[in-house]
Amino acid sequence: MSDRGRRQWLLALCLNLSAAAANAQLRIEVTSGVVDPIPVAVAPLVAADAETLAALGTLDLAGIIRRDLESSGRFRALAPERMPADTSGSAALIAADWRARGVDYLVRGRVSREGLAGFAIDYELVGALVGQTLITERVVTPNQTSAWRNAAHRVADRVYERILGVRGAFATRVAYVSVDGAPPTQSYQLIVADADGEGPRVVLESRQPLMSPAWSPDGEWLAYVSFESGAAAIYVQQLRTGERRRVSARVGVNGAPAWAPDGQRMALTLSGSSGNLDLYLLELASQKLTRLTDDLAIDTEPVWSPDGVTLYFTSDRAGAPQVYRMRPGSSERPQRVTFGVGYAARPRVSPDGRQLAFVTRESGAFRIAIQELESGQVRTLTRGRLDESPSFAPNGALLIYAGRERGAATLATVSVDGLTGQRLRADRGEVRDPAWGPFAR
Amino acid sequence: MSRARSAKSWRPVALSIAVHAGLVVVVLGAASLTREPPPPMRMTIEAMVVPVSRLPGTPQPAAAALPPAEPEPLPEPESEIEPAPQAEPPAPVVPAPTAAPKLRPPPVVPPKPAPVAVPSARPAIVPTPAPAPREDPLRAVRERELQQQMAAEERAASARAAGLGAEWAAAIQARIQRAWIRPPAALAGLDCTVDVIQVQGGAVVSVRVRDCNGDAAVRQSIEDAVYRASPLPSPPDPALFERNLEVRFRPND
Repeated sequence: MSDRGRRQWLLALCLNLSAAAANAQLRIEVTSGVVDPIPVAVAPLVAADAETLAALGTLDLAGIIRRDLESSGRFRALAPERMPADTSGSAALIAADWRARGVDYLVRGRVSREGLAGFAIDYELVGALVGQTLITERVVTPNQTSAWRNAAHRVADRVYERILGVRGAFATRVAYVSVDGAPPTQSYQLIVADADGEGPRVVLESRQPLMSPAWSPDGEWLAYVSFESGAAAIYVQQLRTGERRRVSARVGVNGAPAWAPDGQRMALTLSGSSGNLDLYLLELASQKLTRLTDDLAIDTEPVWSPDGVTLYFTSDRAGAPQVYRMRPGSSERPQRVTFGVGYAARPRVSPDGRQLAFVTRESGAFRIAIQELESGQVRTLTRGRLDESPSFAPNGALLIYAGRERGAATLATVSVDGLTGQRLRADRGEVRDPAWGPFAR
Repeated sequence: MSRARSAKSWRPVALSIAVHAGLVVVVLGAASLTREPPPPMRMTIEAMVVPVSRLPGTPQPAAAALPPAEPEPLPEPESEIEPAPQAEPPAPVVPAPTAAPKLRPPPVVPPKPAPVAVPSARPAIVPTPAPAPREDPLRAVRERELQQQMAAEERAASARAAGLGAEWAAAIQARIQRAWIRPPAALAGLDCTVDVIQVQGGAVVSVRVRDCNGDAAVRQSIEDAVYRASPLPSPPDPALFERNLEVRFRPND
């Protein structure tokens, strides 16, 4: 009787639960995961006809996608020679086969003519574990090598985002300075290349030093320092048209331009006639200049927080260089941000505003470190002797920086967890001052 | 002669006794042997008992599965048995043998905590056989089945009591954690619950993300993780096997 009563009570209870919940018996809680690279396969893209084949030439689109994904450190790609000849079949049918090869995701597709002079990449992302197609999409491109490459980067971006939930930054660009030759006949070049270092394009060439390139928030302009007039001056140059303007050529040092997120203002370093470096704010349209710091120490290398409220900068007001922050327009004194290290310079803020990358010194070597702004926790990411000029990818997953290899300066990337690093190709000469551009609009 | 005769007459008696004794042994042995075939049955029942012990340690939920049968206690077992078989057909045959050997150890363990759990498990089922009695010739068979069910449930209950369920859950947890490639989008505060269905042998056949505050990539990573972890570890006692798992992803950082 009491048994029966209990049953009814339980029945009522049971009906209140969802069917799914009522069926689940064993409850398991997962409280951690791993960061192993995810195994993927990128099948060669199939050319639909002879004309497409001819247009592609030796361009290996699948290879570009594969290298992009691998460069992130988040993926491990199946070696091309291990790729089966036949990659066709519905997602549900082929899933088990790919799983057996240890592949969690397959990217495959074909290229065909589109319109009068263009081509289209129709690609598919197959989730081999779940046996489903996760993306089918078409990317259209004109028939130019740079455009082909960009289309492949865009495919990699979409795959990256679908699997990791973070926007891919493969179809972005980096700017850097290349120095060739020995003084006094040195040649300086300001170069813009794809984020993988391919397709470098010289946007400015000079016999005098070029330095400190900085992107406008919309990715249309570069600001930089040029000594072409015999002294340091700051210029801005539109990449598409080549149009350039000199925005600051005051007495003494004009350096370290940093475009504010609103695109209207620029933070920069000026010495004036006193020779002491301080931070200033320049309104580009009106040329109105506001002094931000006034300290006997060196204040330089400003960089904006993503919300445009805070400026981080390097100062040696406490003796050794450390990173400080201040709020332009506020009367509060600059506050020191870096504490755990003896040396912290050239700060850069992550796109989400939560991390600070800077150059630190460890047993005589200069290395890239990252600090969690909330906790203050610092970790060193690189292991070189002279690593400098860190710059965040717009998705915050990687940093590009200038390092040295066998005495020559090269560019390299490192994941923000420090686990994956990669060297970018350098044709010749020295490369320095890399700046990772924003997402394409 | 009479001696011999009596001696002789002894023989059949002795023989008879021996034979009977042997029979008893055989019957007993058979009875214990019949434990082996039931595994499929037991697993079936276990699967259906699911709602029963949703909350580890609470055998009552069994009643929850019974409700439909309330007026007629008898059908319960059948109605319980029906659904599971569909999914199990392949499993019963194979698992049975492996199940048998493993069956023994747990009963040994239970002695201490088991006794408590067992009685409570029994009452729920005992009423069942009572109502529809005598006439049915299948009754005996059915009763034996019930006995076996009870035995299985006792074992399961005692195994649970012995903490084997927790041990199994920990094994599954560890395996899924190793298989979860956590995407950067899986931030602290993530809380996702998935309903997983596995078959005997641990192969995952269904993963459904139920409640989740993560984005598409996070959900994908979670689905992937469970499939990647397949086959899931087997329980230390086959009687513990559950088809339905509820896995909650809640990173503690």
